[in-house]
Amino acid sequence: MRLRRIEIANFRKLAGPVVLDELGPGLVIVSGDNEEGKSTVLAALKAAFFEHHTVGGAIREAMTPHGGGTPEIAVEFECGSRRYRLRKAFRRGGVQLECAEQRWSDDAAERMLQDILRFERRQGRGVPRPENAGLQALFWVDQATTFQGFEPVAGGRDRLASAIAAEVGVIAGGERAKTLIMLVRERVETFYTPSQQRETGALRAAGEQLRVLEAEREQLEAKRRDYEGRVDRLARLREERRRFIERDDTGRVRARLDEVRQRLAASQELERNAGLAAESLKAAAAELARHEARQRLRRDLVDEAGRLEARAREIGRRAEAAERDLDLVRQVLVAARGAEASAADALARAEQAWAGARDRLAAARLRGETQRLHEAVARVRAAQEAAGRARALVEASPATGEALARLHALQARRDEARARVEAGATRLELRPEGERRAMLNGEPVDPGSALRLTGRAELVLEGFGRLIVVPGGEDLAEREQACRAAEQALAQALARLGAATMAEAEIAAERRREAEAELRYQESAVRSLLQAFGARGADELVARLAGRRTELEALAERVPKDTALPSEAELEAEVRSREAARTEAAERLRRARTSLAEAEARATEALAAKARLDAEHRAAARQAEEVLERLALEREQIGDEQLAARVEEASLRRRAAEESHAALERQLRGIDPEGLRERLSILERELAALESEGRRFDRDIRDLEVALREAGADAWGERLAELEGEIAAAVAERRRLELEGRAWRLLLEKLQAADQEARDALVAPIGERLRPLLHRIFPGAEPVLDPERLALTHLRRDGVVEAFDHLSIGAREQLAVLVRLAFARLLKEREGEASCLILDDALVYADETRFEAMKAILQRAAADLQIVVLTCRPRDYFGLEARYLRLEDCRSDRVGG
Amino acid sequence: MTLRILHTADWQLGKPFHNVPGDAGALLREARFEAVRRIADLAARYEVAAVLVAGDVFDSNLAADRTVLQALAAMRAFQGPWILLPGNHDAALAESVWTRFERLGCPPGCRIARMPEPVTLADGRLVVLPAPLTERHTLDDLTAWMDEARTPAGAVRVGLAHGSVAGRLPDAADAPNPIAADRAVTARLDYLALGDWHGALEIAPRTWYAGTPEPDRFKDNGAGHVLLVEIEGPGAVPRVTRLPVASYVWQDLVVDLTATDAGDDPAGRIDRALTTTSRPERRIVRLTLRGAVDLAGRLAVEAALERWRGELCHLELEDELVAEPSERDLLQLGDAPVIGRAARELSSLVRAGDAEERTAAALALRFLYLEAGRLERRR
Repeated sequence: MRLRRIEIANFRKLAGPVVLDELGPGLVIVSGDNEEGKSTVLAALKAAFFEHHTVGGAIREAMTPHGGGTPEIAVEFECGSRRYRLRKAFRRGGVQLECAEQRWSDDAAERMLQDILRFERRQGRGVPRPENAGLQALFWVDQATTFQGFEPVAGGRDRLASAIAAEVGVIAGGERAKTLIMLVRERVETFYTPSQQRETGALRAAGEQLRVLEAEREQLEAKRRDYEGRVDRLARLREERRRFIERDDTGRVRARLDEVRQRLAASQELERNAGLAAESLKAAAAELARHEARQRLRRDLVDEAGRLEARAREIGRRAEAAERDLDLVRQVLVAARGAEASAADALARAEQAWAGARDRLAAARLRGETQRLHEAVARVRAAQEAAGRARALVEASPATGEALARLHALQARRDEARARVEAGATRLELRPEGERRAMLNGEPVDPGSALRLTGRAELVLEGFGRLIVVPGGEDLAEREQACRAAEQALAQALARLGAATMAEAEIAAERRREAEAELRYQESAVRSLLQAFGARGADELVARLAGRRTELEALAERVPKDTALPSEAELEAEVRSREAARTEAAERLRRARTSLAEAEARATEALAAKARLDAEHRAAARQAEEVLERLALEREQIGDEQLAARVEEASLRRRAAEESHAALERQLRGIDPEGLRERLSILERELAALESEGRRFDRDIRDLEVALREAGADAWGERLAELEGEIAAAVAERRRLELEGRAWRLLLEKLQAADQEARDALVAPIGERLRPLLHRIFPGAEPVLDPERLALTHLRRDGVVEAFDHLSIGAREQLAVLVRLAFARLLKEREGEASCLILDDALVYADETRFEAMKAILQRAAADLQIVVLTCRPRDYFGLEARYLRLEDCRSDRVGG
Repeated sequence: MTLRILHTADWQLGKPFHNVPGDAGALLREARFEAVRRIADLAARYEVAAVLVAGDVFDSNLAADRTVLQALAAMRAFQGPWILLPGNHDAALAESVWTRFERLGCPPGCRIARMPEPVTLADGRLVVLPAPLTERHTLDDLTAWMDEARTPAGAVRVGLAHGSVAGRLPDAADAPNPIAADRAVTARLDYLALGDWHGALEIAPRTWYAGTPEPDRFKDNGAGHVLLVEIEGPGAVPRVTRLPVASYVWQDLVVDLTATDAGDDPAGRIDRALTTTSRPERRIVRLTLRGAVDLAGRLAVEAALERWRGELCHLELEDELVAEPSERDLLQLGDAPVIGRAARELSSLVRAGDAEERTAAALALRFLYLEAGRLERRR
């Protein structure tokens, strides 16, 4: 479709007629200032073609200019090989369409338009939709909408799709394929989760069922193995028992046991005889030992008696020598005692002299201290008396500093009150004439002096009469009252201090202060004295004096009071000298006593040695006598020869017993009764073990039989056999479901792949035409087109896929124009003709480089496509091979010329 | 006077029938007891001197007590004597189904041959020499003792054993529990009653396998009988008659559905193969489908199979059928190129994929055909 001529009158702001004439087949640039009506030209075109001439309501109103009138549009256009002329005035009967051969009017004209431009007429009063403009909705782009996402719709898409189908020879799967894919997907999802990662539904249930059955089989298999194991064990046990009984080990052991028991009984008899022989041997040996012991004792006694006698003689000699030593020691002891006595005397004397010197020194020190204490007590007493007097004065005087201060304050208040009364008083000066007298409140007044009246006064003036004076001031009476109160308070305060006047009060206060000072002085003196003697009070000082005096009295017995004494230093020197003498005497005494003690010790020792030797001598003599007595007694009982004969007899008896015992022992060793007992014990244990073994066989067999009977009573064996069948069935069922699932999945894959292939084929022709245009603006970019909507949805650049909506406004605008050019190219090639492209203020977001590239693209596209650009910047399009029209120049007074 | 005995074996009571799930399996389990009831009835009718059961009375030594009690009940119609021989399935172990059989009330006319010792019956006219298995498998010939066994003069000697006769059975070269083929001769037996082989089989005029009385596998070997053995006297050749006792028929069928002419209907061919005179509810069928059909044919086959599954006691399918979309199928899929392309992709997988892929692709193709057809019909 191509526009040739457009005339517009009474359409919105284009009230005056506008004629766009001689529109060429290629590029047409229509320029105009803002608000001049460029977009109105496009709106008028759409109205002329797609709105019914009788349209009313808001749509009709939107067309009407301010000044009113019937919107009228005339368009000449070519479609196919025909040229049409359309005149449409929006009123009843206002439409005519004609071509060279035919002419249509009214509804016939409208229907013809629909056929030519292939669009659906809008029904009712609805808002116009893209399909109401057919392909022109795609190619006639309103101002500021170029960059918006777009897609061909309804009739437009169908025409594009059929153009594509004509080229690629296929059509999309359509609803049936889609429904089938959906159905198959639903079936797949009954086997696998939507992600197709995990099994679900019956397939999963079959797997689970199989696992449950296998677990049951495993359990029953274990039971079967256990059962069969027990059956085997039972058979083995029965066989073992049979062999056990056959071998008759028990009988064999019992026979051996009897034999051993018999041999053991014989050996026990022999053992008893050997025991008796051993006893006899023991008795013979004991008798021999007794006689031999008696013989040894007798020899021992003879030897002992001789030894004891020799010893008694030796001790006698030593006792005599000790007697001589004792005498010498006694002499030394006497001399030592004399020396000790003289040293003791010397020490007593030295101590007496030392004590006398110490007494004298003590007496001298006590006398001095007693004197000092005596003086101190006197001074303390005097100070305490003076302080007592001062305290009495202070306590008797009420004139304290605070009382005096209060007095001064009261005096000041009284003086202030008086001054306030005086300030309000009335002064009267009388100047009588002659000797005339005057009386104030009944009292004569001195006429020479002035009167100060502070209260109501009655003045009688001789020769004049009465004169009543009332002093001024509202509060004079109050002031007087206050003054009196102050005076009274002062008088009371003075009375409390016992003073008539303030001067007396001052004197009384001064006296009190002096007494207080005296009191503090005396108290300080007392404290200083006590502190000098370290006493807490005077009484302690007096007590200490009395104590010293008592000590002095006590000392008077050894040092008479009146004795004149040397100085303390001299006395101290004497004491030290006496003490040294005493120490020396004491040392001499200690040495004498040491010598004495040594002598005494030696004497004691010598005496003890002598006594010990005497005792030993006596004891030795006695022991020798005792031994001789026992020897005599022994011989008296049995003579020496007789004893020797008895020893010989006993020796012979023991040898005989020994021989008898040895013979029996030899016999016993040959029999080995201990070995027999051990053998017996072993055989008894063996028999017990064999009997136990027999019982164990019986018990184990019985237990196994019972256990097997119980285990075999239920139907688990058959259940196990059944399970094999169930598992085989479950495996088959699972295989069947797996196969079905796999088949459905395979079918889905194949359908989806075929569908994708068809989709790719559908968008290929558009991509093919778009790609060369796209690469001039976006080098290397690949368009991604939605085959359903035939819309550009993404752009792939350097492996990155960018959504159309995420691109910049400028890029979107440029892409939108390019896609339209590609659509137009496709339609031109497949149908021989495309709708003209109208761009209203497009490419306003393009930078200079892109704009220039887009201009070049438009120029090339205009070679076989009419492109009308409505712009407010005509200079931007200079240089293009185009028909340039200024809207201003197109205004005309004629319509439809 | 003719001595008559019934020879049977391999009852395998309690056999679970793993490969036949559901009610059909339960019916087959019950059928084995029914066979025993019929044997008892036959024994009573022919007034036999004994029923010799040559091993594997029970399927397992772990048979449930209920199974043992049902067996006792099924045998009730014949008072005996029954000689029951432990076989490899129910070997006379220390504790076995036989110890429970005795505890649960083995009737007086019933004797368990647990020891290799002669059993004298029919007032001394018949001596049975049993060779019981006391373990599941042995490499010794347990019938060897029969050679030396002494029996009263004038008594018919009958051996009773369970195992494989060497060199006379298919697939039994290394089989355990061997039995010498000439045992009847070496042991001077009038008859050797054998068990273990599930079909009725004559090894020699005096040596027979009775086979299982109720078939239990798809092997056409003459199972489902009991043998009536009639012996005139010691040394006489026995007369053996097969008496049918089975309830169910087991069939193994192979059908190739590859179309040979345009009018071939795969479903019809299946119907023809499965239609026989015997009652369908008494038939266990294993059907192997081979060849190739188109998707429509495949659907028809499945519908036919579904119908037969309802009619037969059990239908086991070995599906080796290849289904490939024909032009007609592709037309059926409708005009959506996506569906057509997917179908072609799956077809190429059916032809060229590995085994697993082929199976999945074939099924996927069927699903596609079904679902697309359903959608097409909805339009």
